[in-house]
Amino acid sequence: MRDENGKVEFLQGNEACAEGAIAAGCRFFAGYPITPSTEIAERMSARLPEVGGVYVQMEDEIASLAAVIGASWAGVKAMTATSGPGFSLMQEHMGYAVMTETPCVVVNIQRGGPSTGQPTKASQGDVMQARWGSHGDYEVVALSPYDVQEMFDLTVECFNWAETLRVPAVLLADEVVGHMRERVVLREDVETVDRELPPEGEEVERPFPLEPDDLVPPMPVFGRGHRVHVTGLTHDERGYPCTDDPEVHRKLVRRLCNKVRKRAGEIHESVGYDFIERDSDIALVAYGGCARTVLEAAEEAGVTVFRPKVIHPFDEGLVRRLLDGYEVLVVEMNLGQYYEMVKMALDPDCVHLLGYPGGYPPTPERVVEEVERLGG
Amino acid sequence: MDVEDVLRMDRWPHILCPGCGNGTILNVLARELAERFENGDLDPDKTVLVSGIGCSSRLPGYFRLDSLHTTHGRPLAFATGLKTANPDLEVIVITGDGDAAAIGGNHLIHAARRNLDVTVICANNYIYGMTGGQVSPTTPEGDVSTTTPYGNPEPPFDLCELVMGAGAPHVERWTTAHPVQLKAAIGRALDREGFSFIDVLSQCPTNYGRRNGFRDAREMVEWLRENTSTRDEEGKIRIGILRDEEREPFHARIRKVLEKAGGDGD
Amino acid sequence: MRIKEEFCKGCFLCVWVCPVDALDESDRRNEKGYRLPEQVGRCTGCRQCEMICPDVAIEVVEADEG
Repeated sequence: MRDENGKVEFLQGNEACAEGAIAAGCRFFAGYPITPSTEIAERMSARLPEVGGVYVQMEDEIASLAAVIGASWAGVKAMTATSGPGFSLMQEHMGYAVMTETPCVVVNIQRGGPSTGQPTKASQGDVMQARWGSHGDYEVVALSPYDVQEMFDLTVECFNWAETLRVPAVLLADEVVGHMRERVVLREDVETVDRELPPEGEEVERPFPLEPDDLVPPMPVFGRGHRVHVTGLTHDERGYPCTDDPEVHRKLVRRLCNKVRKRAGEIHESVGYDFIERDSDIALVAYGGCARTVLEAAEEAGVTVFRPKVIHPFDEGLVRRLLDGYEVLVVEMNLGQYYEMVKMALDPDCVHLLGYPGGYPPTPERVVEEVERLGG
Repeated sequence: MDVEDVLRMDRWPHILCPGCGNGTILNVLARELAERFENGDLDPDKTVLVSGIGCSSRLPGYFRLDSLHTTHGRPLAFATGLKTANPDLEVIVITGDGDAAAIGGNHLIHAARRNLDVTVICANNYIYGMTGGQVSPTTPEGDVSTTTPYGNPEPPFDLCELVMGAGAPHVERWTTAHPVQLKAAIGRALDREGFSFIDVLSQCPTNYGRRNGFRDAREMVEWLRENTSTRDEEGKIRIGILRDEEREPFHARIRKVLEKAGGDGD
Repeated sequence: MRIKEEFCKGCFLCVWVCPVDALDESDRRNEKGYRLPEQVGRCTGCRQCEMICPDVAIEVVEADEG
């Protein structure tokens, strides 16, 4: 079946994610089996060879993200997919991708944690880990899809922002959206972004400029005469290790953070969000699989609801503009992670939490009950 | 092409200690590459160096080539992505005994099993030099390090046996006391398709030698020359070509998968 | 033979490897204080010193070049 935008299929969220990756131009996937993300690897292993791409099942998740970063330096759009324990193993390489400014996409189909937790049950327990899991100061892009169509669409967005900003982008999905089946349009009109390249065959003298107006420098490709040295050590403009000058480190880390932070508003506007305003004193906030019941509950209770798709970078200004003056109830499948960020943006006394640390989202009835308890 | 054309001489002198075996490895690799670039056997624009963490892993940054200085133990995993995403690249991995055999041991055996087409040069100096001289998986039993003050109670790995067991088709062992032979070995490794592994017994005078009865780098290379042999000799470490076979490399097998799936573009 | 003195760290592996004892330790030091090797005998051009030097500080040249 087709509609005007592309092929219409009835797919699982994980399968739609793989199709989104292919549509975005992903031609390399390295991964390691882990519930509840494995279907992404399975679909990529079937689909990539059809379009001339490479699939490798690595020996662990550490190696998976390493191979993805290697492929990205070969000039290929690359992705891996995992869940909690694998995402934990990937953290060192999240930091490496940030430091070396390597565009790549990491899909995390969140499951119950900590540790092995509940592999087949959903959670949103990795919201903070996506942002703070590796050591040092850094920023990434993390997007949270709430249905199968968004598993496709936001995977494309992850690639586009990874390429635009030269950062790892995380598709911060959960078992609910990863495993559900819905109608999805495999859009053929997707807009894709490719990283800016330096001229071919020319040595790049300053691959990592420190100046603020060069927040995202063009990315050299190995094998094209750019002759670039890439290191996870603090490096100067030439890419050479610089381990003893704190000023170089400060400038580099500031640029790495600012190139994402300064575009937080633009990222939110471009990826989009749902804001359904109703005549109410209470506003609900939810994202990802959890938002499905919360949107329904908001309608039932007649209250305003905000559903961000961009989890990181957090846009304080947007949250303040939309939610200032409300009694805000954040509903999420953890014990309060996005909640902490919302509290920092608003009067903390006006921000409340309905936290379900995994398993499944609260029912609409349970959310309505909580709204009523708050006086809505 | 001169050796200095291959190196980033603006970074000289390098950070390695006086008499460091890694310097000799850097030197002969640079000379072998310079010759190959000169006679057209190898394209410098397609030659890529990848390393992990440690003293030896600093070498790629001194070459005027594309180079990826990665995380501790993982250079072969990064190299897997580089090489399979672009099989036209000539990928050389520089690693050490701690990098390759401890934290990166899993990647080492799997890269060998897959027969990833890379040349691995392992600077095996029996010690964690960068962090000040801790015991490594190749430190001989009984030797003293900062974390084995009573002598190393563990038996060491034989890295060549390890990678041969995992399927590596081309394996050689040399030492920094054999620069001429080492250069030739690197040349053979570059010629071979598939996983080539060169175990280079090397000296760390600063953090291994001085704690184990060697006064300087000269005494250490002297020991390496006297205690190794290209024949099986009682009491000596076997050096030379330990295996030289042909096996289909990983990227060729991936190519066959693409052909089956119809994505090979032909 | 040319020794790039500014790169030498005085390890004397060149002295050790030379099969004809054409090199020896000298008392001269470079700016960093490392003692330098010197040529004391006839070089046969085997280039082993050039290759073993960890600092890439030795260049073996034809006699008529310098």
